[in-house]
Amino acid sequence: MPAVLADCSTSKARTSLLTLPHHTVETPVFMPVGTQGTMKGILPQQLEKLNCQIILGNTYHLGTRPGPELMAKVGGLHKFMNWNRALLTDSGGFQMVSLLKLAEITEEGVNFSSPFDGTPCMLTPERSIEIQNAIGADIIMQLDDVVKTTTTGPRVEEAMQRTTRWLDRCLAAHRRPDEQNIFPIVQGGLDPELRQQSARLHTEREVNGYAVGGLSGGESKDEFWRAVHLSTNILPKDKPRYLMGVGFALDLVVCCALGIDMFDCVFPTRTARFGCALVPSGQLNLKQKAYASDFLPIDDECDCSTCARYTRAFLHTIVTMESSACQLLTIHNLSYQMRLMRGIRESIKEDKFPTFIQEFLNKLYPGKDYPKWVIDALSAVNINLNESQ
Amino acid sequence: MKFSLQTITKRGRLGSISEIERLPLAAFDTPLMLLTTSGGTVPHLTHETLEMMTKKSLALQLPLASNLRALAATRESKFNIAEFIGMKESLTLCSVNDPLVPLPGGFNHKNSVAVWKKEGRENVNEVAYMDAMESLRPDLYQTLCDSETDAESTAKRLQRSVKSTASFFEYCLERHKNSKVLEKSSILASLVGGFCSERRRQLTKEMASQPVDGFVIDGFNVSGSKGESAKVELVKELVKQTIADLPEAKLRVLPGCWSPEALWDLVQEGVDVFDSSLPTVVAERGSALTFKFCPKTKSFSYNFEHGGENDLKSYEISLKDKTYFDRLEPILEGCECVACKNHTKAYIHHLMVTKELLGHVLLMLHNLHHYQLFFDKMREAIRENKEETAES
Repeated sequence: MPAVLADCSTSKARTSLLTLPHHTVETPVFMPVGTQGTMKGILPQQLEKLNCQIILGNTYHLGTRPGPELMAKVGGLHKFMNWNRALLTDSGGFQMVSLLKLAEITEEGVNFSSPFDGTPCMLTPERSIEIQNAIGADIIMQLDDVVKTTTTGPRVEEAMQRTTRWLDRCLAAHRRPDEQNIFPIVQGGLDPELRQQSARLHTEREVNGYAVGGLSGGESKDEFWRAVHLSTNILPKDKPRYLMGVGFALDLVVCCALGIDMFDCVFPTRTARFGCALVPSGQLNLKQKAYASDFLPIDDECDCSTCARYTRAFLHTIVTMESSACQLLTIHNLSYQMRLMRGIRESIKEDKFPTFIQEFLNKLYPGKDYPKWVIDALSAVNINLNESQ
Repeated sequence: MKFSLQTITKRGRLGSISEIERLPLAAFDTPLMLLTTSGGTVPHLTHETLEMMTKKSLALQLPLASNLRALAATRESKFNIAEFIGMKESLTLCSVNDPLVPLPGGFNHKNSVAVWKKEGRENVNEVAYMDAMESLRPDLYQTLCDSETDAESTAKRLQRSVKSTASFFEYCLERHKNSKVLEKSSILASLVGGFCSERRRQLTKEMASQPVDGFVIDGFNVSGSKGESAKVELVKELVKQTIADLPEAKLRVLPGCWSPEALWDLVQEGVDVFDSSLPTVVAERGSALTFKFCPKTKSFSYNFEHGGENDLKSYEISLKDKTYFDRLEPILEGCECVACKNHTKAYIHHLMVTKELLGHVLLMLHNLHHYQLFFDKMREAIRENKEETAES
């Protein structure tokens, strides 16, 4: 499926063209999350202008409202929200476990009580795929058995094995294999043996891409990068690799070096609603008094429509007060993520990714006090920060 | 600012606002709709989304309440309010009241006016008000007034309102004349007096010959939902009487959340400038404007889609209504707005049900577009009036 444009000659990073039914996506790519069929007050035309190539919808939310019947009737989420580029939907399982109390996981599926009327409901792998078939995203996810990253003991192995059994049920239930690609999810917690086993089991299935799941949930950064590194070592080079729920700039840069192609996270859009703007040196909390008389744009190197027109001082007077402010910061934060990913892709094409990382880190850590996990992760893929200074 | 009248008929007049010092190339046709802002933003919209709505120059109404937050920044910087809010190509008019929110009433003192911000109330006297105008430097502004009067106000209350407003005026005009920073701004005299024709006449006559650029007919307490249910017949009579006492060549502004029918009546009386509080308030409650106005017959027609079970107005449909769950047509067939060209009722209903921000963005884009078109059609109707008069 992906056509590799360039490989980094130092690390595991690569840049590719991923051809999907609705759009050809350049990877590494960040996928903004539009949970309920909309991206936080932003119009689809604005998302295109920001060069968003693929966005996420959440199966749990869309399956509840407006529901799969209407989705099927309108011809899928693309038409419903008028988004012509690529879409990805999750399986709904993660929301079940994280949002709902009283969710119980059995071999059959996830048992939960409806948040609307309390009636018992069951999300099986077959039901998840049925809903995702109605939504019609370019990439759909298998239902997986998610355990907290901090879980230890036999439950981790059970979840890992069950995830593969559920993968086979999802593949069997899939009705639109020519229009939608199912990605399996590598599980196995933080246990290297289990994670490798999960990755191997899944690579035996005929699919067009893989996700690395069950991370970014409270584990240490050291455990996090090692699990990613392990997974990408096993997953085939010629298929896209999607790291679920990761979206901090630093994590994106490091995980691209570890060979990840796709990311998603609510962080840039969520933090925008609280008045936080992403910049190369970290983030600005525009609610702070310091910005009341700061007449610079959020980032004078940013080319987004917010930075072209609005000052920090003005935004300071409207963040968290006016709904327009949320849109202005969402536009900026998405633009920041898109520009970061474009920079990564371009530097890989020129085979200058290690230099890109060094410059990125210099802005984030002017005192060169890089976190140890970053130094370790990068040196595992032959990028030695201390040497290149 | 220059206000030039092009056509005067017995049923409304056509004019143009131009030669704004800051915007030498811009011209605004009257009757004009000002875009009502909150905190310097058109609610739910940004410069980028406003540009999708119209390529025309915009005229903004900046209620003092939501501009108080901008005061410190404009005072200590070189930026005027238009620049500060990122809308330097737009005309700015500062108003005393916020037409989006009904006035609570009872908080104006003899020497100061209550200004309602999201954080609470602040009382502003004439000195603080003119300090604010000198910081904000809008293109037009009205003189401070005590305008929280309505049909129920007592004679005593009305007398106080007129007296304070006249006294505020005296100070504001004097400051304006001597102010270097306000040299390029136009000043509009505020006319109040509630629903009492004598009080109104008394003040209007005093103001009519003053060296101002125009008049703001205020003091009806018609912000937000109060405007939609105002006693229009009474207002119309009072406006007619007021306008008869005003010089013809000067601009007449009438803020408030009028129904479309009331607005057309007031246009016919010769009012030149209104605001966009109605389309905004309607969008806030999850509704879209669907009324039609025919410039030839000068009549309104309506789209009653979902019965009268709720207290909806004839000019709106509520996208919160369950009937729209699976309706795949746009809000209004034939409408050229961003929302109607790209989205269905079912989608906007979904955004309402899930309380997603985009729902209000789309309703604002539709309602403002629809209201702008309504203003175009009213101007067309006046043009037709002129031709009819010429023919007969």
